[in-house]
Amino acid sequence: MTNQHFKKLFLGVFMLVSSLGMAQELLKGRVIDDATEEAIPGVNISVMGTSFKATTDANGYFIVTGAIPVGDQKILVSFNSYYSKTIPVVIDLTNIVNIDPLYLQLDNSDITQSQGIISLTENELAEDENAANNFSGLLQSSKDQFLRAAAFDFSATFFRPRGLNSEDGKVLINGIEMNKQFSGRPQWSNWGGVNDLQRNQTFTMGLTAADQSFGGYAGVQNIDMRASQQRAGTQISYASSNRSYNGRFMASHRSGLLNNGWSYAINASRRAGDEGYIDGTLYDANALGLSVEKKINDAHSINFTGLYTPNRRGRQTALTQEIRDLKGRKYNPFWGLQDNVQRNSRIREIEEPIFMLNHYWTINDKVKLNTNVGYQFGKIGNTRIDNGGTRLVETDGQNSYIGGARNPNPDYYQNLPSYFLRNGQDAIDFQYAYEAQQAFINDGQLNWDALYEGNRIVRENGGNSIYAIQEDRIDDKQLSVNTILTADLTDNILFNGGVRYRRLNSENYAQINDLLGGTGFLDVDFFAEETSDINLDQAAQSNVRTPNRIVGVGDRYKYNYDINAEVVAAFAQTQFKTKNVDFFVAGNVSRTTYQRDGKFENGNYLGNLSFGESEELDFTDYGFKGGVTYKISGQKFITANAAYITQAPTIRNSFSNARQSNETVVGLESQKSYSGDISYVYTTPIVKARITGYYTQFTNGTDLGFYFTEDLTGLPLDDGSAFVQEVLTNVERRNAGIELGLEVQVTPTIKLKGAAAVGQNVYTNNPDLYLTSDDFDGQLTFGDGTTSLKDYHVAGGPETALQIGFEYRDPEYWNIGVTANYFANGYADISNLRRSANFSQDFDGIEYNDYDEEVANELLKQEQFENYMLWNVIGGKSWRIDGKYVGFFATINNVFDQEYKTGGFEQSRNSNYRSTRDDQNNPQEVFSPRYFFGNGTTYYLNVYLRF
Amino acid sequence: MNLFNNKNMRNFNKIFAIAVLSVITFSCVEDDDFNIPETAPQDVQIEGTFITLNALYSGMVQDDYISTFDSTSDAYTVGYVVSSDEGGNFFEELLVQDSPEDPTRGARVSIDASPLFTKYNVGRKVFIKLAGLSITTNTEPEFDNFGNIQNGELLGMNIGKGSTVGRVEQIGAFQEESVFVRADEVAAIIYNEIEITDLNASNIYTAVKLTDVQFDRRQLDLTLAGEASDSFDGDRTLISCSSNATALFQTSTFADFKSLNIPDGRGFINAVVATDFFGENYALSVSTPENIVLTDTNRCDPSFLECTTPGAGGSTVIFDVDFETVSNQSALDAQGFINENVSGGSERYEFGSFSSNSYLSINAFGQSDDPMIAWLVLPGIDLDATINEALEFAIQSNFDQGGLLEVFISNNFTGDVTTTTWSQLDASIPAGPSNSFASSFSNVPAINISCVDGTDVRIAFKYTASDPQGTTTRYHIDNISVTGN
Repeated sequence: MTNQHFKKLFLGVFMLVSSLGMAQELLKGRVIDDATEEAIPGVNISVMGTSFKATTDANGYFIVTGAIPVGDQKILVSFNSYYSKTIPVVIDLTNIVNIDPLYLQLDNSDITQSQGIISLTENELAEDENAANNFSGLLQSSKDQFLRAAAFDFSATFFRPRGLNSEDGKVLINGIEMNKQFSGRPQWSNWGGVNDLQRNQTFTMGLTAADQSFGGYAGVQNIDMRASQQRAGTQISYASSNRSYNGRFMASHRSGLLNNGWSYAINASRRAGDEGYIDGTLYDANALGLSVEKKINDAHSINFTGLYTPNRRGRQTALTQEIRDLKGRKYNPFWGLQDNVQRNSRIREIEEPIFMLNHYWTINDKVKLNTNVGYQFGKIGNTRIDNGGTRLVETDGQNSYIGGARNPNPDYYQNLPSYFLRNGQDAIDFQYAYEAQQAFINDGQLNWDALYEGNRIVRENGGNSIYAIQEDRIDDKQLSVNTILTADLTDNILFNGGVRYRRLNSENYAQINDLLGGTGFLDVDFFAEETSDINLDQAAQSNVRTPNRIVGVGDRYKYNYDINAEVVAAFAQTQFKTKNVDFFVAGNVSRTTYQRDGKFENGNYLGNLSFGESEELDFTDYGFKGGVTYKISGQKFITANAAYITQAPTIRNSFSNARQSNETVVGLESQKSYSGDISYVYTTPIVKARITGYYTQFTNGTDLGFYFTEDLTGLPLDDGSAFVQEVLTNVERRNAGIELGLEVQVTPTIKLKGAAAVGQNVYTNNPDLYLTSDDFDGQLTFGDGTTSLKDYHVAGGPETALQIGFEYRDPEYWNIGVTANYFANGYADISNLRRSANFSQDFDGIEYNDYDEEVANELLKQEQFENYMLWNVIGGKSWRIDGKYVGFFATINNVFDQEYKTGGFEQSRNSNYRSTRDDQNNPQEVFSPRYFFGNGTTYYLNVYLRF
Repeated sequence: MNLFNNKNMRNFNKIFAIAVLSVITFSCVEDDDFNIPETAPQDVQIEGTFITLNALYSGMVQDDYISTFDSTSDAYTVGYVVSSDEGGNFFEELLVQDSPEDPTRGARVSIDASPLFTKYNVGRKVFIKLAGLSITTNTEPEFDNFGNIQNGELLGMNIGKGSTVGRVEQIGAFQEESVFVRADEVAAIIYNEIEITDLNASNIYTAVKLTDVQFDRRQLDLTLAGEASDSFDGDRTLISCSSNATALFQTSTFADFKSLNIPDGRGFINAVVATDFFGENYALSVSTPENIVLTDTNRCDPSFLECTTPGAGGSTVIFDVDFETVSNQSALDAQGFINENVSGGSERYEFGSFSSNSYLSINAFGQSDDPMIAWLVLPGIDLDATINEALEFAIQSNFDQGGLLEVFISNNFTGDVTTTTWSQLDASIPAGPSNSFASSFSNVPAINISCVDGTDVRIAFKYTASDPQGTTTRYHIDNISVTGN
């Protein structure tokens, strides 16, 4: 430290001490939109190289308090969707610097991109296995070049920064956590379509200090929907696309702070389309968002925010390579024509309105308290065809259930050519395979008429529906209350703390949505099998209290249970800022309880095995994190963070067979994890660069899966197949890697950018695996009870992602950008069961006599996807007419129509060496892996008018 | 509150109006509110050359048991569906007959499609286009020295693909619509009343009503096809109360109703006729269990001697034979056994041994007596000196094809089994595997004979079976004993 620096520091400390209790105001001003001349609230002002900062109020005013070092300083003025500005100022102790007005220019490309990304999160209405894990939605408000690349260009491949999932990050709206307790994931569609009210977002990256929440490894996205914080104005836009919806109409109006202390903001939109990039994926979403705020006085404001965004989406599925080769990557087996209209059998419908009240209390100019109450209720529904309809036949005082039909999906494995060549390749087998191939190519869609005809025939004979549309429902009611305290203890010490409480009542059940022309549906399990203890009549009952019930539309059947969950949590965080070093520490403690409350008494699990309340699961968790930033100079700094976190399992991973029983996962524990990262950041007006190394180790993880499998070791030879719940516990995995972001402003109009991520996400132990099923008693384990996952990759997007690109931004308000993105090291998800001892053992537990280690290794090798390159183009232009903006922007993704796999998974139906080997030796594997394919060339065009 | 009383209000109105308008006029997503489509066949006509099932059958016989239709043929036949895969007892096959009532011919169409009942319901008239199809028998015919079909061989007509006599291949799953055309008509199938003894080859693949039948009393503790020993099919025995004739009743182990306990009453069964795998025996099956109507609890089992005095045997051995020392006919004669065939043939109880164990064996296989009846009468025993007497013995039932082994007792033996007045004993002769030896002997539960007195009491085994009828169960008998106190 030079003498001069020391003097400055000394002076700073002296002035800080002397100024306690008397805020010094050396710098103030007002920020105005250069086009509309309207004040911009929420703009960040910071004195570069120091910790002094401020935010503009509803009228655009800001005051930077505290002892800013005198002399030449630069202030950075930044706000979402505006060009940032750096302004030199001279601070002296006598003359207050007042910059009024300070004009900011709207950066339309920013709107462009954020809308582009929103169209991606909108895609997640479908919640297909891959998409649900993606957290690019979190990143859209980030200014970091690497994260922007991840959000806008890498997200189409489900690239996961640092190998993290969406449940590793937190989404807050007005300070209330929105992640679902069931999965830990944010339900993006609950606030989709109200984009214009969600411009104010702050993203706290990774482990760094967030102000509202302890956060998670993937950071915190806080969406501020306060009415007073919305930039005044009106906007109408129309978007056209071929990705998920075909069209979007959106209109919004934001009042800004009115003289009477009120402010309001409203946004309505409709997004719709008959199909997106994938065939038959209808999109039907309306959205209404409203915020109203009353500023009672300088100390108190009360805000109401309501969101109602009902949406429906036709689902799609993963395809085997065989299906892809016959029908192409857009193929979707779930739809079929009815009355010459596409009808998708799998519709996802989400309607979960959110209401919240927010109280903002400025206790004094150093202490603020924000208290929020939120209530959310509604439904998530997923439909599918139930093909297990039967009728009750009584014979000699005994019941049997007659009926049921084969899976009617056109991509059912018995409809595909591979099925006909699995047992031999005689001439007639080739003929069958050829016929199957031609039928699949020429039609290959769901035959709704056949389902109706089947039901019509049985109805005429007094039977119940064979086929029906089943809707799996989750009806949540959730109350959230929290309060967050922010206190500037001194000018250099910021304290944040909060407590939160969440109570969830979640009703889970199946109901009949459509009898497809029938008169009723018999609520018994067509696939039930009798065991030595339980006869078929009993095993088939979803609820022995009302056996053999015939259900109609809207009736609950199959399963019906509540999950009650409570979370109480508190966090505290202190951030210290000094001239050269900033650091923070934070801690978190929480208690989570779950309980299942069975409403049906399942025939396989009598009494309180399924009915009434389960054992109450109770988890106490805590977390610590801390970080330090060392400022080498105003342009270079090094920052490092570390954390140790324990995390309660999600509801999804807590009950092993929630639909049928009160069973909880054996050996269930909170996941424990520790993580560290270190970054070097270099920032000049020309170059912005960041390089980060990270390391995260997870232990005691839990993962549940459900599937039908055959030839299980430990079951009788002729009866080794079962629909099972697979419980994986004690999972250890490690994510480690490097990420790099680079921006070079070559000329004022041309910017070059680059991003790179190289990482490895692998299992680091052999987790415990057991199976449960209503087809056998207790838990089925194999060998030593583990499965050999060590060193396999945890699937989910490519581990390597590289980008180079450029942007040209013309002073005449148009811009264009191109990026080239390269992806590698994507892996298919492996079958856990195949890596257990079940693989090598015959039904009696003895190793297969033809077991060949070398062949086995080849069979168990994890599939790595091919590398690929995606080119994206973005561009736009805006005009200013009479103080109004008119503009458009467009993106074209995957310009060269590259085909690529975003993910995939092995099917666990073939569970052992022989069946896997024999199937892979077939001309075409029957139970081959299924893949998700990325979109081909797609566009997004948005036209808007702002005034 | 005065939130909306300024210029913002006007803006707001504008926006709101536009928003509402946009929501209303925006392209609707057409996927809701589907009507029930009209899917029933209507006014179905078919062109081409009509061939009756009977003509098809005669043609097949003329063509040396396989006819093949050219892929350009316009020939078709017509049938009424009599089978249903609704209950899983039929799978990828459709049985049709030529008329809803009094059929003269049936056929089995083999097709790789499931489910079929959702289209081809029982009674549905179906056109079957024969182009590219083959007609052959259910099993390869065997001929005698004169070139005639061997006596007792049961040939039915199968429709499908392939070129091998007696082995039909499935019509491919995706040929269904080019082979089957459903007519509008759904007729009521009148099940043809028939006696088991009157079943003949023309009944194969037709619907019949078996009246006054019941299941074999020895099988009443079994399920229809849910036993561990049932593979592919559960084979059970139906007995006619009027003729005592038996027939094979088959249920698939994939049937939804395989786990039903065998109905223990008496009544009628609406069945369809097929044959067993070898084409040797008729096999009766039902599509759904509603067709089994055995509601009369008054079974027609033979009447048995019922002793009410205690009789569980005791420490006094009155009679005991294990055929280890008494091991040939002359030894039997010396002991006072009577072993005779009373049906005109020569086959009677013979000695056998397996794994160092000797026993008596009886089998009608290869015999022409129809039926063959053979008696084994034990030497006379004195039951006056003891009480609580019980009879025990062990049986191994092999290649169980129904046959009959009955046990009788008499204290007034005339010396001639046919003129003696016998009382039948309620012996639970175990059922055995239909196509192999049983793995071991089963001890028949002790039979109470304590109410029989006399100094020359005779116990007799009567075997009734017939090779021509295919009821040739091979029984092994061992360890016969009578004890008391």
